[in-house]
Amino acid sequence: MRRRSIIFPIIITFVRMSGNRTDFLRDKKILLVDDEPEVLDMIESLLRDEGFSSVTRATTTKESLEQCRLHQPDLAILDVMLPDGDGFSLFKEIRKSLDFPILFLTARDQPDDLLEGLGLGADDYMVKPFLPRELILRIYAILRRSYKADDPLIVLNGCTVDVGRAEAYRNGEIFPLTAKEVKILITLYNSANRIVTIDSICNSVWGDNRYGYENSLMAHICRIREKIEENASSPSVLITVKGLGYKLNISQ
Amino acid sequence: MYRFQITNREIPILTLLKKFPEGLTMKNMQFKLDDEIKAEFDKQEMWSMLIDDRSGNVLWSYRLPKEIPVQYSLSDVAAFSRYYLKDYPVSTWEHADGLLVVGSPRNSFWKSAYMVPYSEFNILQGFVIIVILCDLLVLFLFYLYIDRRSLIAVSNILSGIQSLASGKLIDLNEKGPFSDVANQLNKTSDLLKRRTTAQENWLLGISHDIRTPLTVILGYAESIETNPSLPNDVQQKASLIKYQSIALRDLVNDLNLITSLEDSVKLKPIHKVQPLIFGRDILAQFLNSGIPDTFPIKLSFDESLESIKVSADIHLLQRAINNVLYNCIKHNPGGCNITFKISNEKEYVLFCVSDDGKGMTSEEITTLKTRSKYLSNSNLFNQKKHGFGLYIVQQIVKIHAGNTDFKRNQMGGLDVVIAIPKTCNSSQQRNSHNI
Repeated sequence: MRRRSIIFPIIITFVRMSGNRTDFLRDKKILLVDDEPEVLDMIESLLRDEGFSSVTRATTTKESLEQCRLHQPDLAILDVMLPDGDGFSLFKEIRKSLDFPILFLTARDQPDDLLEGLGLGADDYMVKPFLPRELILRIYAILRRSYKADDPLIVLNGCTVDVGRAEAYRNGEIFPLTAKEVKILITLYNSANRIVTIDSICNSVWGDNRYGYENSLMAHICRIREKIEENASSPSVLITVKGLGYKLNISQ
Repeated sequence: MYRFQITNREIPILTLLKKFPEGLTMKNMQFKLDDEIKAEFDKQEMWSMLIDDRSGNVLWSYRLPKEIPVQYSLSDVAAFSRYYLKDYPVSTWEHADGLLVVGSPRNSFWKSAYMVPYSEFNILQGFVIIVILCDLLVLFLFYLYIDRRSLIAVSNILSGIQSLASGKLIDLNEKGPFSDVANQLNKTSDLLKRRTTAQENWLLGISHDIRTPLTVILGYAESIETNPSLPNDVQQKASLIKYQSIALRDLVNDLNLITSLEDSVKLKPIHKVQPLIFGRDILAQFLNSGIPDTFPIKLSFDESLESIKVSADIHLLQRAINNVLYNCIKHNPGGCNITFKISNEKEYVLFCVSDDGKGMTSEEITTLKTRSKYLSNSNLFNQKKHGFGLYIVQQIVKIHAGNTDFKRNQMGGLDVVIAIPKTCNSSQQRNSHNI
């Protein structure tokens, strides 16, 4: 393995590592739309407890469009049934001028509704009632996916990965990453702390034709571990879930 | 009556002739004809005479043409009684005083005398019988046609009734025989449809109204549960509220699903699914939903599954397998080892979930296997203790033309085996969307 020792990037790395890397996600502006004030109160308190500082709310379609124009949110959580219209039409209306991720939150659980919501291009769809933890995790996942360019650094336990430069920094050393390794890490990071199946990793790295890549994936994972783990033989960051897939542990 | 008959030119001659012998009577040695008959004779330009039986002389005549003789021999009589008398068509009648002859104007009637050999008459009889038989045959064919139409109509109605009985909606053709019955059956079907829709709408409405308050309850319960600044027992109570709310949520979801599953016509397994990828995905999602460490889960599968596909409705089948997995957790609160095995067996792909928990008694397993429709079951509340979960599994698997089996395993726990038929059309597999 090729190792370079350059002082300058290490300094940058240590400076950047000092903060919690999910902070920039918590600065994102979130718009909540629901016709029930109790639900709005609950989700808002949930988000504020989680550290999201910029949360705005609306109870009607009209109000939502107003808020969109005024605040330009980074993420919207839309209820499907609103007093002056439905969430799907609101979605289309918003998409005419703005492009930020949208999650549908609805009391309708029919498969048709789900397909309609996702078919429009929504980023996610949750049925009420939901576990607050799950909503928070999905919000993080959407934000991470949508705003990864804002911060190309993935901060792991004892190691930082600069996705833009395709390098991993650990113990004062720089480990260059291949394009495939970066792709694998991004895929895992987008669903951090969740198991990602072998199939979906292969799918996002090699495309649809994923047969025969399992062994190749395993080899890539081994090489990534040598670069990012303190002890590659007993990994603590990039975990194997036998037969299923892999999980990238990050602290939130 | 008589007047009416003689006004018609066709019938009256015969009637007239029948009346005629009585109409000609002898009074004071003079023959006298009824005035009415006379009038009719004049009208139709007919004539008549009475010939004495013994002498052959004409005793009486009326409107007798000049060329008609007044004396006849036996051979004369024989000749004109069969044919014509001086070209006048004549009829003869027996009268108390002799032979009564009635003549019509020339060229007014055609006379003929038939004489047929008896052998030919027999053939004629045969011919008549054949004609009658032909008529009967035509009648029979006509009967068959009518009968067939009725049969078709009846069989339509019968199949309609059968469909209705099995809960399917019908739309019978309301033409032809029994159209009234068909119409009534269609009305019944409409009524059933409206009832089902009302039931579905009611459930949807109820479930929507329950969801919003549950969202709030669940949200706050979890934030109290996870707030470290609160006393431990408060957190535990919040945890209890949370799990009871989850139970309520699952109940609402299950009820909704059961309603749509009972109307299984709408649901068709349309996706081509690779069992291994599908199974991994389900398990990953299941583990990602926050399963406690007390439930270690192992995945095992046959390598030969890589190239096999099954037809499935992804959401439904995922729901079924999830239900089975959650069942292990629900019934074994102390924890248990779970194995999720996907195997390749003949025409089926088997998804088997095994645990080493408390399992089920054989009576409970028999009840599970034998129960039928849920909502329409009068014994619903007795079955309730077995939960909706596995019933939903059975219904979903049924939609996929598969089988569900429950059995006790060697570890004392429960094995739930879901068998889904493989897709046999290989070209379809190649073109299908990979999942």
